[in-house]
Amino acid sequence: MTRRLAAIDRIASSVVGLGLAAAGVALLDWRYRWLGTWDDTLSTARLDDVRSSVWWPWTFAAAGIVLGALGLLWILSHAPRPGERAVRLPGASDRTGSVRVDLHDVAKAIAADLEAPTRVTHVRGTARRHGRTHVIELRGQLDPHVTGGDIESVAARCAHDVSDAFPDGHTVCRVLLGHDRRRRGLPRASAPRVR
Amino acid sequence: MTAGVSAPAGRPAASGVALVLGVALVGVAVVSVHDLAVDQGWATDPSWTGSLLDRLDGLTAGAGVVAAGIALTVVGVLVLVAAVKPAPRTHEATPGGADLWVTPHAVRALAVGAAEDTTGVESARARHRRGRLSVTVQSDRPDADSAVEASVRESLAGLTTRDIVVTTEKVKHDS
Repeated sequence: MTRRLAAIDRIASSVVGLGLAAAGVALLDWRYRWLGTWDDTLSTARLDDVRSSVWWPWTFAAAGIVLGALGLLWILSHAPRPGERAVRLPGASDRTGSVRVDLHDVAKAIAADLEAPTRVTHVRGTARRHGRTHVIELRGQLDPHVTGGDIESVAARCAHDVSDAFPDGHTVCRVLLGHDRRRRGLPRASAPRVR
Repeated sequence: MTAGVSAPAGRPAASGVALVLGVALVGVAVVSVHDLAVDQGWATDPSWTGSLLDRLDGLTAGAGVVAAGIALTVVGVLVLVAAVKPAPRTHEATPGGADLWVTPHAVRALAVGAAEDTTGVESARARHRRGRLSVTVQSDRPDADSAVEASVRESLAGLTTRDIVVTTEKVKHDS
């Protein structure tokens, strides 16, 4: 989800929230006359006049279709985005030619590197863009019988490998670890329990 | 944490509201096209906006209006809260230099795993409380606290900066 989309969501939600709350207060004011003066009964005669005009059905339909298309685009823009793929390496490119690297494949390779020596399972690597920075994001599941120090050193090695491969500093490695209780962990390391 | 890259977070509540609003906009499109079809004689149903206006015409400020007013105000305030609510943090930063993040649930699972791997421990549970990680173990050994704490600390080394508090619940066995 991009920052721009998050900002659009927040602004639209604020406008609609304010509108709903204002409409609710207006209805209560109609009943209790705290602020304004209102007719006792609601008349829709003016709206009926507009609705019965020749232009209204076409205008309403055109506006509705535009709003519906915007709504559909808005919904679809919330779908998970595919990771970044080919990225130009500025340090290795010039006017005569450019070098591009597939960050998706790099992420997959580093994910395999993280998974092999540790008890982190189901590691998936994707590449995402955060502003000007390309983030190789590794998501995995921790086995409950792992030792933190091992993970930290392997994560540091991944970060080091990435910074070595992309010395411009615009590509970094991030490791996100969770624990999925539905997935069975590796067998217990030791520990006879109390019988 | 890498400079310039925000902390990992889940979807903000405003995103859920946005999806509902998107569906509502698609609904407006359906209503408008339906009413155009009715107006042009392509469909024989009554116009939906016409029916709505007919129902609203002559409405007085009764109990239904009060209920609708309260409901709209409450929903509006909830939507406003959702709009400003920050996205939930999904992971905790780790103290080391690597850009390594762990979910609180994983930290608890690791603590429980380490505690249960300690000799003499029958079962363990962990929870976050007031910034600390509280581990409670069931054991028949009175000195289990220190062994469990050492084991949990070793397991979580480099993964959390939280204080670790271990409590032992004595287990009695019938001989």
